[in-house]
Amino acid sequence: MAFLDYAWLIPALPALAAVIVALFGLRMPSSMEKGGWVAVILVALAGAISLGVFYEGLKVNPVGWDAPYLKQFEWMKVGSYHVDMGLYVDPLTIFMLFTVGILVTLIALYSTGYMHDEGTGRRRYFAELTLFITGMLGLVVSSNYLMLFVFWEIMGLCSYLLIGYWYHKPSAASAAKKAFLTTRVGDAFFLVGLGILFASFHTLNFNELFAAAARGAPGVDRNVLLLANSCVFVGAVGKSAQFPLHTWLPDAMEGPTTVSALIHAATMVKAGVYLVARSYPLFVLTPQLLIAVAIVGGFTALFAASLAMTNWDLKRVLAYSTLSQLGYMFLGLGVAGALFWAKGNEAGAIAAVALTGLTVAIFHLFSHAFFKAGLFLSAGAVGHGFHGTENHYDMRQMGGLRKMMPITWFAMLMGCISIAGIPPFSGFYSKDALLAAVYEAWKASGAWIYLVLFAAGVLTAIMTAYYMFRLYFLTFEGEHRGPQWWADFKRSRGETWSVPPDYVPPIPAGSAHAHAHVEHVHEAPHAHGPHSGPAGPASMAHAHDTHEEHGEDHGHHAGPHDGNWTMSLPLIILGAFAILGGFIAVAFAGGAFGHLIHASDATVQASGVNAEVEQGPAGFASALVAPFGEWTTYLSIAAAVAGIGIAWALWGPGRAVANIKTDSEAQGIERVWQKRYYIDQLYDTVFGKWVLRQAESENDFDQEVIDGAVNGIATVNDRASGRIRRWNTGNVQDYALTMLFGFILIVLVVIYVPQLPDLWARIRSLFGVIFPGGI
Amino acid sequence: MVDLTLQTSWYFILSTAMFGVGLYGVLSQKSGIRLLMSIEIMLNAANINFVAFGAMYGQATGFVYALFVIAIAAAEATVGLAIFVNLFRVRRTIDLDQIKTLQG
Repeated sequence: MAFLDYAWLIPALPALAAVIVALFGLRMPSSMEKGGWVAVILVALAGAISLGVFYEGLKVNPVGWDAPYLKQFEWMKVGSYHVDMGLYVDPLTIFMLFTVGILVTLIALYSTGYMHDEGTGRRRYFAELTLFITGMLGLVVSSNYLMLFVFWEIMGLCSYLLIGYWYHKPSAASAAKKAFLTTRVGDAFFLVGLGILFASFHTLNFNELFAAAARGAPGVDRNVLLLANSCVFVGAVGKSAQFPLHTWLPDAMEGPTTVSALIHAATMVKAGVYLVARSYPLFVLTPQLLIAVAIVGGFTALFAASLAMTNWDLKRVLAYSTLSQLGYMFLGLGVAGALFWAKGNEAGAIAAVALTGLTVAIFHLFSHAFFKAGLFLSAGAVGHGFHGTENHYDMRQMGGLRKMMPITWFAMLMGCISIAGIPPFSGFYSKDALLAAVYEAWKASGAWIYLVLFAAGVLTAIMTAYYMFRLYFLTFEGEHRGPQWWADFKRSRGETWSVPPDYVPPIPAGSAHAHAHVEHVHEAPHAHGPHSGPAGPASMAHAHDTHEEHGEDHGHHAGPHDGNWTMSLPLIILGAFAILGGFIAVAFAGGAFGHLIHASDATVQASGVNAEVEQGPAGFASALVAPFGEWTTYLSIAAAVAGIGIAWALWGPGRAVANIKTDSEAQGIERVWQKRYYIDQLYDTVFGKWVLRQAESENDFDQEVIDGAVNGIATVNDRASGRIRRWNTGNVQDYALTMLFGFILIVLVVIYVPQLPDLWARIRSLFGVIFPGGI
Repeated sequence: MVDLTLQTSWYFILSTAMFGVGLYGVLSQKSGIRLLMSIEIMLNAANINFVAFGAMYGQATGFVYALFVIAIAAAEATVGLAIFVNLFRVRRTIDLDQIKTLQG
């Protein structure tokens, strides 16, 4: 167990990298990318240890996983309660380590190329990036909820810092705030949930909690547990950007694309899914909550997919797609809600189906992580190759990039096919297993809600295939359109828009351009109609402010092209994962993956079903290798093909131009989608106006009453001390006299205070004499 | 007939009186030298107490303490005199009413 004993290094190494880069990044030569390579090397080491732990985990006899690897020490002690800190490694952990370990390494490597033009800002970027990675890796190996919460919050902080990396850009600054505050809503609930759990179980350690759950949580009221679990789930909803706390994720696209990849593929949003999966032994005790999990997931999947269908921004389409796929994962986790109907003779069959939910959700998390990382990094390469550093991602101006950036094209196409669900790509296996699990949950339990959710899942699959291939066709196929075409197009619609002056390749260096451009920017949004949309030129224009930060040579690109090897290598690897991910999972099915359920005996026992539950490698492997026996499989393949077909019909080569619209041309449902169902506006109204007014009155209270009290105390002290300082004459003999009086006072106290009770008794007896009947 | 043999309480009366005189001197005298002399009187009042108790209980501890106090009093007087000598060099006075810098 060599690697397991060094598992503590997995979060420690990125933390070390964060410290080194933050302190010494600026002194490093520019060949080190201001600490970027330090970050890459230490993160890669942590990734290597993660893989080692994964490998050892696979070798271990499944029986060995009955007890997770656990090492913990006392962190703090309050009365008879104690909170520990330590490592908790079980099959769920090693799968997260495998996924996160590989992805963060690739993203860190990619970042060195992607952020090359950022000058000294790279120190800040890499320090925050490695701290973010610390948060995720630490969260995954945490041995109790409180420690998990600490790392959870580290990620919250770093997401704020990284989304707001271009903090001088107002949209980025407000996106960062939005992400921080929205997830904070969930975090507050999470913390309350932890408080209830601690009050109920007197511990937050996973091993003790799950052991108690396996015994059916004796002495804990189910309604209290339901409340605690619900609070924990709201925390996951906030972190994973599920409806109704989803609004921050599309805006989070304001950060560098590498950050988007990190948040969407490997860390932040996956932490919410991980939290629910980790809490499964507790959640299965309250199956009604798991039904809610399924509904939230299913609804978000459909809801976000609808928003992705008409968006023009490359990154935002991917962001909605992440929301939608996370919805799938929660839907999968919610399959265990079928336990609610597990009574009587059917109980065993229902439990067998319900408990596959965790496995399929984690399987989808696993495959989604790889293809979504590939998609985002490809999008980053498109942006990087398209306009220099950070820029807009308006797909209407792209097209025909396949020949210009073949490596990016490969990775993007593999990702698109995978997410659409075409066999034998990884996305097919995981999505199919997930939908099949939902369908089976309906068949076993007879609860119509699962049939509805299954239908929503299939509909989402069609929409997913459609919007991903719409994205693909618009970006990579057909003729290259470019900003000049877009400017002409807008002019033909009576709108004005100009090509950014530094687009036309090759671009001469000089700051005059940047200044001229800033002027340009301010008129663009006005001329742009009532709503400039998230993908409008405004966001592109702001990007140019970053030029001020560039200390070093700014790459002047002659048209779109692939990035250097640090960007291409991760793309190739991720493209390969998109193809092979499913097979990898199949190959591991006999090992830890198939035992995700088996390992968590606590879950099985906590479900309250004593029947033999079929689980383990055989069942899962057959589910993967031979899914073609079920008609649902053909349904999901048909859904993918239908979606791709519609996309091809509307946006295929030669047809895309006819269907392109400007933002102000959106009508009807497109307008509603463009406005994101008006939910952001609703939040702005409720929180921006009503809550603000309330907050202002509270501010007045704070300023006048609370500050008034504090200031009043200060004033009283100030005046009193003005008087008292007159006693401080400086004359030694006055001081000596004071000492004398003080001494006399002490003597009196020492003599008479012990007699006070006696004195008090005498006074009482005196009262007794005066008022014989009592007062 | 009045018993004129020395009683222990007489020593205490003497030492209390001496202590009172010394304390009065410390609080009232304006000259630094007189202040030091008053402190010496207080210390010697304490010495008389020690010795009287030592004699009363027939133990050496009181006498030993008295010796210690004499030694320390010598040191204290040295330091005190040195302070006043230096003070005089700087301020040309050792009048305690004139020395008031020790204040906030």
